[in-house]
Amino acid sequence: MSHYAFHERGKDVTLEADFVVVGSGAGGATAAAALARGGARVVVVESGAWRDPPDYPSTTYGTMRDLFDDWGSTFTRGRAFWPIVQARTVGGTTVINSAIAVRTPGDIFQQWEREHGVGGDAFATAMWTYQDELETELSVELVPERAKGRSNLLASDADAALKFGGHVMKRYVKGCEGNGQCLQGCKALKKQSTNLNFIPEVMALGGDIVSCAPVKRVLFEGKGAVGVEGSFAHPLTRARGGKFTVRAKKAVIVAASATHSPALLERSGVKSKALGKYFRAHPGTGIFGCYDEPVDMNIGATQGWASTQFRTDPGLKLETLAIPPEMVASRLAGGGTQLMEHVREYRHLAMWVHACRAESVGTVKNGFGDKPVVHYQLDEKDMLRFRDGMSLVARMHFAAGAKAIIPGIHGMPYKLGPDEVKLLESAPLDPRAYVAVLSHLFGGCVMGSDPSRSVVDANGRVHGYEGLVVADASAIPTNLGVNPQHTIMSLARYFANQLLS
Amino acid sequence: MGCAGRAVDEVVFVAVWLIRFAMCALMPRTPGLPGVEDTGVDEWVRTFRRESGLPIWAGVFFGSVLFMLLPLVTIGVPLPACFLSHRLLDKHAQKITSLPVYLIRQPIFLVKMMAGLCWGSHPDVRKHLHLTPYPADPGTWRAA
Ligand SMILES: Cc1cc2nc3c(=O)[nH]c(=O)nc-3n(C[C@H](O)[C@H](O)[C@H](O)COP(=O)(O)OP(=O)(O)OC[C@H]3O[C@@H](n4cnc5c(N)ncnc54)[C@H](O)[C@@H]3O)c2cc1C
Ligand code: SF4
Repeated sequence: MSHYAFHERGKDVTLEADFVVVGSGAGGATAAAALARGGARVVVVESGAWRDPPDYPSTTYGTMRDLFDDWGSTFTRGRAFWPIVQARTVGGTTVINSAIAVRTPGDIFQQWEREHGVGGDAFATAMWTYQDELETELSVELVPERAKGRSNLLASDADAALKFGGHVMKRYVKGCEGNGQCLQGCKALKKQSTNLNFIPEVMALGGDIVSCAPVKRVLFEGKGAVGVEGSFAHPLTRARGGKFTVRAKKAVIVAASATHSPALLERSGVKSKALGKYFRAHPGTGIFGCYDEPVDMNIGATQGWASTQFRTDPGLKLETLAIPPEMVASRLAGGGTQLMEHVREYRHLAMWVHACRAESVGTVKNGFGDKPVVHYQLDEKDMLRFRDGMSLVARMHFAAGAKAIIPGIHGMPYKLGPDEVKLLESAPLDPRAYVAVLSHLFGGCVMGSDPSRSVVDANGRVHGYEGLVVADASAIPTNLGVNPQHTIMSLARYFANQLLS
Repeated sequence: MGCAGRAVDEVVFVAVWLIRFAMCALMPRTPGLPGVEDTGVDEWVRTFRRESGLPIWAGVFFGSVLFMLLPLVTIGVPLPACFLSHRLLDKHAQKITSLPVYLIRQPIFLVKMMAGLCWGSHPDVRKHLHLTPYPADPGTWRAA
């Protein structure tokens, strides 16, 4: 049980295990822990550095530098350039996310069975059983009363008035202190990101962790995956270090995320018609409500209230979201003294967001310097959905007593009052008018029974190859309409247990 | 240092200056509220240059060049932004963030985001917003 961090040039590392897992986020860490619990020797190879809570940054700048994948500089290529936010660190995106735990809705398994020939009742039962286990292991709890903060409470008030079917969120957090810093990593040690549980458990069970180690390619002998290789990358300078090679006696499990897994398989020479296809997301954006009394949205849980009532019609999720002041400045319109007037209002702003269950599909390719290139844009139907989300969030703010909202849509007035909310119904359908973010990603190595339309089978095994499994968001063949971590983790545990059996 | 090294240094010096200029103009000091120029921007931009990856640095640099060159488009004045009066610079900073051309608006958004990152993490600004100062970013990791 060792941890291998950055090694200088000339100091190469060679390891051997039963299984090598690429990526230590929601999928990778869960799969690795399941394999290690089953008695296998596991090596986890992670592109980012291993940062413990005392190493976490405080500022958003530090977060972009230390925790984000490539400074958050990956964006969609399409009509609009929307950022794709993911982490690059031991623990993956679970370190920077809000840890919201939502069970996979039953209709998803039916859809997978109908459209992709995987899933069905037995599969659903297994997944929910794993979700029960995960909820206990990762201390899933409701956001406690003391940690709610005013923004979340206001959203509950709005929900009570509008009957939007909302609820206090359940999260993988034990005793949240409500310091609103989930994005920067929870220094209070409350959020159960995988660097704090499954990864140390893998080590305790005799496995190794190799950090600062972006895998360049999967190694094959014929059609069998036998290991991975790459060169260490310095966490700060990105300077290239020594080489690492990890041989796998039984299988290579790729869990590098919905963007990196397809890119890695492509540069490793994996042949599949569906590779890099069917990329989907929940593009989301926020609307600020302006309140008479200070809201201080950064006091309280980063996210604490949600509604899934609109998940199937029109296909939206509503949530609260506190963003730090340094991010608020760029989300408010204008520049110069005008912008400074806008930021003065910071304490009185609450941001609530919608995540759109978009049906549009995109592609992922391996780009220059191994950076994934994502082509993705919303079609008109999704833009209509997206726009509906703006109206719903606006209505919530007014129901909670906001005196105005700031929609942040290019070409529309900076602020809208309660009587002007109808204007949102004719807001532009051009994605370039919005500042949106993609943080829930799916596909690229999708699961299915037909090798011409899918990359992996119902057990996560890559069609046509031996010993190669994908166990992360990239295997998910449809858009979920709910936060994906629970589904990813249970899927990864399911695939790992199939490997053991 | 060779000629090439000196040339690179000069380009970097100009780039840092351009970025700093655009950030300060986008978030200037106003009565009772610090602007970017009050929040350690020189050191911040130098650190950003040292630490950031090429894609993001190039994007911010490009946005800052556009900011310098476009007063003609925003306010109809054929001068680089650094020669504008205080009043006109402010007008330019306001207009450039809402230009209809997306390919201009986006790089400017990036510069504005950097200005926000520098500004919003400064202890004086956080105090103003009733937030406790951020502890320093440790920038550390498990080395073994
Ligand atoms: C800001 C934010 C908030 C979110 N909030 C929530 C939430 O509250 N609830 C929820 O359910 N979901 C949330 N999500 C989404 C959720 O975190 C992700 O869907 C989930 O973590 C994806 O899991 P994954 O295993 O596919 O990828 P990740 O968790 O991203 O892990 C992939 C790992 O692989 C590593 N890697 C990539 N390439 C390589 C390579 N070549 N070699 C080695 N390692 C590599 C990466 O560095 C990374 O650590 C959020 C996402 C974001 C960005
Ligand atoms: S709100 Fe604060 S205490 Fe709660 S999980 Fe997030 S970072 Fe941790």
